[in-house]
Amino acid sequence: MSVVDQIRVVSASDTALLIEFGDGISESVNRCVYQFMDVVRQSDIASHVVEMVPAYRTLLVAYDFDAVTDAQMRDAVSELIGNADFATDSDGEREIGKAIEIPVVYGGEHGPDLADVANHAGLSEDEVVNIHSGTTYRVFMIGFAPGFPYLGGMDSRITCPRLTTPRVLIPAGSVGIAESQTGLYPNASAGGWRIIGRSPTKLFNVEADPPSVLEPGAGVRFVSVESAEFDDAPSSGTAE
Amino acid sequence: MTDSDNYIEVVAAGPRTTVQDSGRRGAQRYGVSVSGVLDSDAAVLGNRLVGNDSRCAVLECTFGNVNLRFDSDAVVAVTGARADVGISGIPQPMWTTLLVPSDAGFEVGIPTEGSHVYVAVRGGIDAPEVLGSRSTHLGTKMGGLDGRVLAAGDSLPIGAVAKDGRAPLAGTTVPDGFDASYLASSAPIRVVPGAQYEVFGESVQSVFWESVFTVSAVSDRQGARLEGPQVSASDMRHDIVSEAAYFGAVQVPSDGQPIVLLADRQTTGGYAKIASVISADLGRMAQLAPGSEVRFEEVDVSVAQELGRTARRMVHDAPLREPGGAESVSLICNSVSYDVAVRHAGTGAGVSSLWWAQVGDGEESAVAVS
Repeated sequence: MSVVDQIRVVSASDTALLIEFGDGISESVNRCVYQFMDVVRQSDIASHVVEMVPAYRTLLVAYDFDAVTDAQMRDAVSELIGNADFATDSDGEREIGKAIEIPVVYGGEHGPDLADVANHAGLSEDEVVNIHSGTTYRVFMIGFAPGFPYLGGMDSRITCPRLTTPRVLIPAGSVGIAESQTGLYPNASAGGWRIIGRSPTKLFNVEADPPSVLEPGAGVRFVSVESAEFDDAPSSGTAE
Repeated sequence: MTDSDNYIEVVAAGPRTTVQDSGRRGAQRYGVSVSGVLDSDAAVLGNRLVGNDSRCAVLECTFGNVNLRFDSDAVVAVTGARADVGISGIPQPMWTTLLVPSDAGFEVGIPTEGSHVYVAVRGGIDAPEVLGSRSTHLGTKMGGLDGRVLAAGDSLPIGAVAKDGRAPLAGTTVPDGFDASYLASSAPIRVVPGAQYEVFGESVQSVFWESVFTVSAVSDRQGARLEGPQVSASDMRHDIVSEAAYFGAVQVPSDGQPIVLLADRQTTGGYAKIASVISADLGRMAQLAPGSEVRFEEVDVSVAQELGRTARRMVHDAPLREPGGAESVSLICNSVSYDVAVRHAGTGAGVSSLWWAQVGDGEESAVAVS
């Protein structure tokens, strides 16, 4: 079945279409989401589009119903899908080439759960760090909280269950593992992920344009650094 | 706009008053919630009644009970949930352009219909813009006044207005045909089927269409939580791969109790959505007070969009109703004769008489006669 055959266009509301590019979580489906977002941006209907919200397997296209009807939008989107040149897997190499690099201080006070993750995996702490920093991850989407990335592609050797009791406060920049997922907290928050390190990079900043260092659909690599200066807000140094 | 030096002093803040504008658009893909006013029609009409752009920041007074003082004469309108409004104890109409003298108390009571009262001020609430919006998002402490609900003692800057701009005359009201009693309606909330409507299956869909739900007291700006018969079946999955969450989406977690997503919703969510409230009914849905009963009725998307366009024309474009009943008098002052239009505004405790006066074609001002 070709990519186009599994795409579904749904009227999500009277102001938005939801375009589904496939059923599960996969890199190829997710890549279609971002490719099609670019297609819409460069199309004739761009001026009617209020905002687009990409996710793992879907793209929400919110539009102005004063300018265009549901039926007209569906027709236009179907035509764009028919004409789109959805990428093959080999195009993924280009994205890896422009992966964003995020420095991380692994272990010690900044990664209190690194030893537990290593024990669980039957590896040394250095091996966990090498595996975690040796992979290019994909930002499948950003959601839940400002700048919070859902990363895909973690090596299955370093999976680890969540903490049984979540921490009340995790400092901004903390890098964690939860089951087969890895990610990092852009802002201080409560959380149950196993914290293996911390990045000094300010990942989300309302003064910046765009406000998020990570871009949905982009690649990310963690780079192990020995030490870093952390710009701590007064409350964020008190994690258990 | 340039800075003005005018302020509103919050004498009593009410339980949940926030600064809101038309919302924070364009950063949802970075996880930034839209926020903004819950009842857009009420906020837009409030802004029009004071001569503002329809997107200006207003006070959203959830459950009312607010007392303000303006440091200079202000043009104000109160819209949305039905509540008593007063200037120094003199009752004032809602949905009407009001002039508030600088030394007067401005009171908004507790709503008797709906939840959210809007106070629009000429010039708008000039809170700092964050990512292009002044709206408060309480969950992430973003925007508004330090990202929080207002407290007594707060001081809010009022935006400046263009020198040649004119506010509508005091006593101006909403367009003919706009039904300001929409919150008294017990008509079903109209919806279109949601993105995962099929997942629910026919028997669960019937439960949704045929049941009466009650708005829970734990509802907030993120969502209206409903209680009622379970919109669920033992063999259905409520979890979906996370996708965009949108204003008005009716999502149903595995406990079968629907949540209507509102302005402060997270940008993405992982629960199946059975329906989506149509644009024309979103304000009425968001205004439902805890304990209110609600039913849903299906309409076609094309019908929903026509209703939405009609409602938008009425709220955004239909002409406001100019006040009548002004008396014209001539006053001679320093040998110059002035034409003054005066209208009586009310009487009450502390002030025996409040008048609106307009000299020539200048701005109106409020005159208290005691």
